[in-house]
Amino acid sequence: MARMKFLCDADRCIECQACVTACKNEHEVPWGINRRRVVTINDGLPGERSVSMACMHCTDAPCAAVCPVSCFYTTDDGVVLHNKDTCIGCGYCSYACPFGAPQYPQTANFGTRGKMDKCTYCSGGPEPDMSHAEYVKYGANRLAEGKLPLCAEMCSTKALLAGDGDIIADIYRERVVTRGYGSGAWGWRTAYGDTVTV
Amino acid sequence: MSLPRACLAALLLFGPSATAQMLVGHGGPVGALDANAQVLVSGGFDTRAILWDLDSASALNITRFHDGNVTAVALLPDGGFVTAGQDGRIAVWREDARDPEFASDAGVSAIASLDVSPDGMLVGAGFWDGRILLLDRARRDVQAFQAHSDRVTGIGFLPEGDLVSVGGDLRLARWSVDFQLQARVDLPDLPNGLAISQNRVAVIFAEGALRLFSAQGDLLPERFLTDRPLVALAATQTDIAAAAIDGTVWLLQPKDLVQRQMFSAANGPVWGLALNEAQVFTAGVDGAIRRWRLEDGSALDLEPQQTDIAFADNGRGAEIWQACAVCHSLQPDDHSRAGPGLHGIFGQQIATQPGYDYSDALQKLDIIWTPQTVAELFEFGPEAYTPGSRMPEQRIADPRDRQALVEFLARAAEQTGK
Repeated sequence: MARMKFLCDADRCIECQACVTACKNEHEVPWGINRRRVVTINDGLPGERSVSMACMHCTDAPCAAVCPVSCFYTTDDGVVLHNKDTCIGCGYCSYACPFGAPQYPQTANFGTRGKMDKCTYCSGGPEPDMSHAEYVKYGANRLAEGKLPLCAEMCSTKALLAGDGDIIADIYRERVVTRGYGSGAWGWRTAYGDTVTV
Repeated sequence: MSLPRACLAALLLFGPSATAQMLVGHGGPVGALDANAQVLVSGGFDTRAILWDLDSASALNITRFHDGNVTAVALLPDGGFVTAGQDGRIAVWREDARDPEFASDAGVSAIASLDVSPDGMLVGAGFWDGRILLLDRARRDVQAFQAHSDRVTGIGFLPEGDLVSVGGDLRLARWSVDFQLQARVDLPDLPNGLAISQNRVAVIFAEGALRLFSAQGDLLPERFLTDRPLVALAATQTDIAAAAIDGTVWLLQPKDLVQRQMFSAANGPVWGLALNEAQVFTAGVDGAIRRWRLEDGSALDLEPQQTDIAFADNGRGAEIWQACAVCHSLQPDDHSRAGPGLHGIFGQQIATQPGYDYSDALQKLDIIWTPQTVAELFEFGPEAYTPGSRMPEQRIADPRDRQALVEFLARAAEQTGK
């Protein structure tokens, strides 16, 4: 079974926001929530870098470690998902997440504590694959259709890669060797505990 | 909104004692603390803020004002305190008041960070949607502006009055109190909190680093404390404390971030952290506020908190109950959590337990709680079965799990004679 991962090549991202838009459209993400966002560091200065940030589906996920109701789980593909039937919207997962991935629903009635929302790696949730109930709660399940996450598929410069961790790490290595430089696979070490050695 | 003073004693599970250093009264996780030499204020998931007298370890005031988690608290220099919540509201309290002297309107976004100006007249709050709200207490005037493009994870007033903020957009910014940008720098990672010490800005990061910045945003010493996210931070003029999701706490010198002490405060995350001249205070998932000597990080008390652990029987029902236990207790007359106590629930009419402030919607319903109706609640979910309730939508899809839960509740009732 493949271990699915994201790889963000900060030397290629052009901050076009296509990944953000693709995600929002594919899953009909509610107003006020972005499951993926692009952050630019050193904007307008030498060394400017943009990174596409979302849930990285960490190997030892801090969100799961701190959830008081244990609503997070890891699939056979290594994707970290959460069960919205159990989530109580406390928000602690977001503070523990190195990528700020879990989001509060902004238009929900906070008194009843809306459910946290986050990237599902386009693989739905605990409901039956590709069911209406799954789509309403979590969005599309592209993995069940044999497809990869749309954000990475849509990325015009292929700065954002998704797929088996070994394969996308090899792609990144080849790039760095070919172009002769690489500022690192952003967030890879934090999420997966190792580095992409070149 | 706040509870009558007469109820305080009944609500708290402790009594003052010479050795009782642990502050126990919240029902559920505590994520916000602030302290001075005499008092501490805490905010929790049970929707309460509690003002504690540190000498007697007793509650001076318990407020239940916010609709949801109390996410941030701060003490006022002239007495009193400020609370902020998941409901997007700020409330300013006198020390013993039953109602706030001022409260802002509910917002569409939760509040993530809070600080009070050195003179106590301005309150700044950072929201999840990137706005900063500034409250002028004298004029009761509230102004807000878009400071970041993502969650404002930390906010603090510099000694000269300017405001400093950090956000999920990986930026640190300094603002005048009329919202003019004074300085802005990019951060190398996701910031999780901010505190001011000696006119410098300490920031904790999700990558496990603690960095100091000058008031202009220049990077000063930095230390990589851990590879786990740092989630709580507190500072005085003489000390900085940071805590991680594994319960480790570091005490450092503000000048050079040299580590003075490191200790384990909990097995899980430390969400709330505060300092005064002699003690460190930590809080987390179990709702207890623990005290540690600032000098050497040694525990001042480790009394176990009263929990529902006696009901744990390793069965599937007990496992499911752990999620319910964040908001509900099975102890008799214990309504200290966000939801009502469920001791002896079977046979009870809905919304009739004395001592809990049920929503109007729930009081209008006509349901007798039985194994069947409890199972139905989780089959259809509270939004459909008890519409208007404050209970978050919870469903248990597997009928075997629903059965296991009601059997667990029945066993727990037998143990306590109900």
